[in-house]
Amino acid sequence: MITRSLMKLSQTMLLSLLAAISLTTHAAVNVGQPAPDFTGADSNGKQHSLSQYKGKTVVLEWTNHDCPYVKKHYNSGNMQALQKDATANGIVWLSIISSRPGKQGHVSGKQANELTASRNASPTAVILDESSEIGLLYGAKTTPHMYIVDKSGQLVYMGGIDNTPSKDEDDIPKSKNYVRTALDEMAAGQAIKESITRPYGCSVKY
Amino acid sequence: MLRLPAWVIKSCFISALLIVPLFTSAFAYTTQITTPRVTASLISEHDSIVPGQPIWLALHFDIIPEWHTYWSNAGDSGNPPTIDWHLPAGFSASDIHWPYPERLPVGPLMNYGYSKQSTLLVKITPPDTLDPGQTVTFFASANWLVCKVECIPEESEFSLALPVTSADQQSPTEWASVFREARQRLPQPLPWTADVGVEPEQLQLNIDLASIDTQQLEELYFYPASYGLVEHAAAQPHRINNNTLTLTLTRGDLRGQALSQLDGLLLIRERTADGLLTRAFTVAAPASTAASTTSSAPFGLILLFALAGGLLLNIMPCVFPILSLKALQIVQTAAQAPALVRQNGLIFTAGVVVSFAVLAGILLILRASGEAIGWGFQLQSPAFVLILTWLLLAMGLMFSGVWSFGENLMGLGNQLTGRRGKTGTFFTGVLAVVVATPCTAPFMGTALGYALGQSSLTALLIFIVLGVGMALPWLLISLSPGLANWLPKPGAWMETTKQVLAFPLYATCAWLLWVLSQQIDQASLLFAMMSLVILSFLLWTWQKLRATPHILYKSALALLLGATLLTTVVQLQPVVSTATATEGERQAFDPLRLEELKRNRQPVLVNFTAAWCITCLVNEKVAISRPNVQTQLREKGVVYMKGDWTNKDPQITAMLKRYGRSGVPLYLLFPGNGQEAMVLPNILTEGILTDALQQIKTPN
Repeated sequence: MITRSLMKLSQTMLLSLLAAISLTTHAAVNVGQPAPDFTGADSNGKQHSLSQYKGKTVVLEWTNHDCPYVKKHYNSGNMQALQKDATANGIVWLSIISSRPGKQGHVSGKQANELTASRNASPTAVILDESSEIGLLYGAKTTPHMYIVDKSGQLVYMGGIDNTPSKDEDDIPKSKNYVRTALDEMAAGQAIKESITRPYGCSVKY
Repeated sequence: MLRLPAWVIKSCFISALLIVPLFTSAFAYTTQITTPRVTASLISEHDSIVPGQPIWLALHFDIIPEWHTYWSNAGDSGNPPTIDWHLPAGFSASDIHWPYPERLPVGPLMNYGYSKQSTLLVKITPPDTLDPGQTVTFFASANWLVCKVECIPEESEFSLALPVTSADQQSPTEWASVFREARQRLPQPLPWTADVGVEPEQLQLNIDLASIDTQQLEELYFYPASYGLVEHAAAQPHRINNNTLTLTLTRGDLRGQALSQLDGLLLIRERTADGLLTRAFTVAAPASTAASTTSSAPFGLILLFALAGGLLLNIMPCVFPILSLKALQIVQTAAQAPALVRQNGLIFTAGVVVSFAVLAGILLILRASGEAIGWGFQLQSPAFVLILTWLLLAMGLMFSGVWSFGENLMGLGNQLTGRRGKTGTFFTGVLAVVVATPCTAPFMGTALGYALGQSSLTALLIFIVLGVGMALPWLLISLSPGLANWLPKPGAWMETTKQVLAFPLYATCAWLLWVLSQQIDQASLLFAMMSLVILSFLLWTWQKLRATPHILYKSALALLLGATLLTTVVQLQPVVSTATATEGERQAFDPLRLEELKRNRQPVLVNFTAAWCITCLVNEKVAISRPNVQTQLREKGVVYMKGDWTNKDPQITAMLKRYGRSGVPLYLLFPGNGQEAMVLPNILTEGILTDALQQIKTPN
């Protein structure tokens, strides 16, 4: 037909275009699938995006310093120890605060830095997600709610920090820390046995 | 709002725990502690223990307003209470028997729990050998979380001392009525058979109800027994078909794992002459062995929808000119080479079907890699829209006779015998599909939404049927014998028709530019429009140089064309989002705002639309923006929200998915009484909208 060459050209362009459309959006995250990319400013105003850490393991920790369940893991030093071990092994640790302004856990960059100093925490960065964009993108439900993204950008873990949904610090030594176990399994080149667990804690204050 | 500092709350809490449970006598049917938020009591239904006879105890909470405790599955956050029993030897305690909970939404999250009161029942079985006169003391340590928005974990030790008596000496305590009420809220075994169809993203819970009066149904809700089965906050649309109730549930975090049985609690609340009747049932629905058996009836129907949707595409304004060209071709071929008509019909069908399959494939691959996209996703890319504009402009100019490609329509017959003719026919099919995408026919919405929730193979099949539907009229025409006898004779009228058809193509270009104007910034729009002028100029030059056999001219022209187009695509800058929360009486869609409005019991009409969705624009014109409808919206105090999906928006995509759709339009009317949204038809009329709005109570 008359327009065949034009069509052929456009068809080729169209298909390559469609294949190349790169969207940065996601409805619900799934373990075993690419973790959706996001960009957010940290407590010092510096921008971090997940994609910039490709090639590194990334831990995402949703947090709210006023939540009793978060306090359980910070007052006991459990979370800080995990952060220290992880970052020492080249793992990127992003603590994310998705509390909306005026809601519990919402902090300024300065307050976030003070909290990091006073609690002796060592995240790579504290992301202030006050528009809740990252939280809703990942469907973060509780504080703490933990996610692990592997070097290839796949989501490999989502769920709780450990298997004892209580606010008692005394329960920590008796509990199985899912995040530590998963990171150990990854380091040993093993598959993560428990890759989806129930997160427990306070609701994220959207 | 007054907010107490954390240390105040904490110290209140600690002092509350220091209140030692008081014993009024040697026997106590209750021990109580009071915190600032709850009064928690360990209570007994009877005043004594009879050897061997089970007795009911309960942990009972009176909760201050606005605060709540949790059910066995707390939902997205929170935690259920726990009770640790320390019983004398020979005694055993059952697990907690949980009365049915209520839904407690927090922003975009959903919790399950109890407000005002909660009674957690436990059956204690004493040994057969107990001495009458003996006193038995039960100890229990309990933990519970009480939340408003903030959460306070609380805990206490309880004890209860009861004498051992014979059965005739046992009497109910003053708490007996609390036990009676709690027992009425315990779920009963489901008297009907149930199974669950397991799909990648959804669960279809089918229950064979003997009978239910749908008119009187006030509430229907499935509470999943544990984490990860079902997305707690997702809507649970239901339908009733031949006494089978089907609830569509969105799968939760464990959607990637196999599911052999769905456990939970089904709540049915009906209006009766005596007021609201609430019944709760325990559900343990096995996965239906063949998922296809439960969905086979709907699947057949879906295929029919897909076929009908494909057929409808033929009369959509964007495809019409191209198909008219196809018609002219048939007329021409039938006159010159009747034998070829049949072959061309099949090749055209192949072109259409293959294009649908390719589009479906791309869509499925992108979705599998985690992208939140739906049907019409192509049009969310400004580059795609621009390429489509070029294509249609080039075709329009060709129809107008500005340029041609070495042959014209009249000489078509000779060409069609060659191999190149076949390729051409195939790509007429491809082109028809490409330009059809903006006109997602109303039937296709349902079929495509369903398709994308299925396994890839099923989804592909649905897309293919869609293609078959679109090609069907042409296939039938070309296969019908004696065609040449009733077709008009080719002649000069064909050239005129072709020239007339150029104008709908120009109109489509104008519309696509309008779509682009909402996707890219103003400078880019100018580039895009200039590229159209350059394209026209180059095609005109092409025609002027046609006679020249020199390959150099043609190559130079093609190169120039390519360079122009490529530069323009690169230049496209997305428009800076200027989403305003409120513009007049209409608000931009915001899931959090929607939740807030629902909580405030405000009726809301949500319109999910896109500039490139023609059905949507027509609906807005002929239904939503009609004065009658607008007046009614105002009178009923309905908030009108508009979700614009012209550009990518993951929150809207998620919302569409929640209602089983993969594209726009979608109209949701939340009645404002805490009930689920009514999903309005894809094709709206003033009547449909006013009827739906009638059902909403006017604010007093």
